Amino acid sequence: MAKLNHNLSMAIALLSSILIAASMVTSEEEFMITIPPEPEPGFYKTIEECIEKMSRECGENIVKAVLEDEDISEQCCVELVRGMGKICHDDLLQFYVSLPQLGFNVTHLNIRAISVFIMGSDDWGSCSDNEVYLQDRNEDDDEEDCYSSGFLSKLQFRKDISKARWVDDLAMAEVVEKKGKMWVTMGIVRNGNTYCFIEETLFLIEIGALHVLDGNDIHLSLKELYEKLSNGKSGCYWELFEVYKHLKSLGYVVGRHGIPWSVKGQQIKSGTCSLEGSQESNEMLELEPKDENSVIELFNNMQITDVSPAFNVYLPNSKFRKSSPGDPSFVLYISRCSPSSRVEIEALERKHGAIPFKFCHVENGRVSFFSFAKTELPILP
Amino acid sequence: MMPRWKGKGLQAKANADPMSKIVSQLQSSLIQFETRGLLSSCSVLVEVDAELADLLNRSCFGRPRITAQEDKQWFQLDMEEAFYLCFSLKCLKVIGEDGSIKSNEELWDYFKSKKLVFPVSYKVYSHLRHKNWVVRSGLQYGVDFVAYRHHPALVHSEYAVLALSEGDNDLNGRLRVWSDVHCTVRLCGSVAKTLLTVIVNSNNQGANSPSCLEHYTVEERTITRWNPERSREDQTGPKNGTKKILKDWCNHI
Repeated sequence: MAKLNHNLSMAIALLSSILIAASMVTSEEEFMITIPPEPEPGFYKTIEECIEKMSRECGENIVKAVLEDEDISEQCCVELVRGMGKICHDDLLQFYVSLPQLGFNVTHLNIRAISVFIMGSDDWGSCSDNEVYLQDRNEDDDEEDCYSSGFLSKLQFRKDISKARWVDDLAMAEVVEKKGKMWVTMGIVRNGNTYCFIEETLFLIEIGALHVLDGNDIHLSLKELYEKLSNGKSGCYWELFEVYKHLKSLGYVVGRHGIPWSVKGQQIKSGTCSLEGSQESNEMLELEPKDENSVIELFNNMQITDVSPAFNVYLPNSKFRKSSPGDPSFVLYISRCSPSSRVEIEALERKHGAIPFKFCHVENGRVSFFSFAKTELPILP
Repeated sequence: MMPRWKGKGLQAKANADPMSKIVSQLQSSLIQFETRGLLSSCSVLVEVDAELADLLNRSCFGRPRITAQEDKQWFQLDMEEAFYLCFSLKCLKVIGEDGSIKSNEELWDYFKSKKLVFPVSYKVYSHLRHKNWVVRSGLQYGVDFVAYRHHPALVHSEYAVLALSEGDNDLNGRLRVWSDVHCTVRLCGSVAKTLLTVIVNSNNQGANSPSCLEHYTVEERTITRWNPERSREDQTGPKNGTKKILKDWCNHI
């Protein structure tokens, strides 16, 4: 067990006083909060240094904001964004979540709340949105981006692990046992069964919410699933997965473009996964009347070679239903080589009509999103 | 991005004093005084009296040169500014090194020889000026122009402008690779401007004479970076929306 020092024990006392106030732990349990061994050597020293960067009042303010929906005061936002910094902020949250008692005693709802903050740092976001820090924002973003999603892999959800079986023919995982409400926004439904694409499967495994078995009921490791991603047969590749995970971690609902979320009375088809576009969406296209013009238009649209529509993205929305998802908030294109030309962008605008689209560029583990929107500057007086 | 006025009451001041009016006053004054510009490499120098100097300053054409000369003031015009006054507003005549007045065609050829992309750059300059935006050099921001809603003393510029030509990547070569996009967008963001690309299509009219310009078409596009961490809710501000997102997300996992 790690040696308790003044700062750490203060941090624990702070947390437990708030948890007691929020009725999440009983007062007897307060004294039983033990500190697990350091995840990495030197981690607790870092935590101590971080705690020193903030006043006790603000520490309380922010932990309360995380756990109890309170507002963060402007002064504390300054301390958080300028004084403490994002790295310390994320480290501290990770520390709190790692405390084993929190895993057992904090309710199901709240550990997810904490994890949202690690992944999405809403308190961070709402503090640094303050205009005063507008100039700093860009700097902070770019450096700390790579740290915030790394913590995801350290989270272990102890309860509610769903089970799925990988089906090689489909290159998808068929869900066998569903736990938790994430299935409202993940997986596609065919004939009452739910299937996950490789990126969904990997995402869920990484956060510890899914166990996958192979055809012989043998547990598939993360390594084996990464291998499946690499072999190219599952309609996905590493960068696509990075984008998927980035957006999912922030709460967006993300589905593959051209694949219906739910189809009744139809078995899943092999080839649903293929990168070139699903058989299902091709079949749907055939239902439309074909005259020469529409065929030519279809062909013109397909000539956009550098980019392919990857995902339909919906804003985080508790009302999302697979049976009627509605139009996505935007369609996401992943650009692999160079930015699209104006001609290509215009073609996409014709294709998608009213639905906006964005481009995503992934390089060196960095995911960036750009909009190329038509505009017209007003004529001034 | 909304226009950021530099102080209280400045927006009202700008509204009371529209740029179109200032420019047309400049135009009539220049004609009245039969102003002549002197061509010198890539600049055109004009000597003006106090009234014209004031109009040039208020309409943001050219840069004043500080000299010891008391009664008259010298201004230095960029190629696009000079050509706009000559060709579009028809209020200035430019004298070459041989002492004779240059025709628009001669000026056009001359400027093209100095700047290969002059036709595209000029089309963008004049397109924005025609809409009564103030257009200045954007060199220090790594772009072609910066566009202001009114005089720079009153308002910050909203747009950093790149003049791109359709398909002619050889001539322009900007934003061809993603790191260019990242670079330019970031730079613009750090100076609180939106990146505006104005794409000029010559429609195969070539660039032999300035009369080709009227057949060019122009399209404006902004390139902005989308930050998924910030845009997760539709309407509510960051603090209120945070709690809702939290609840929504929790319900899903």
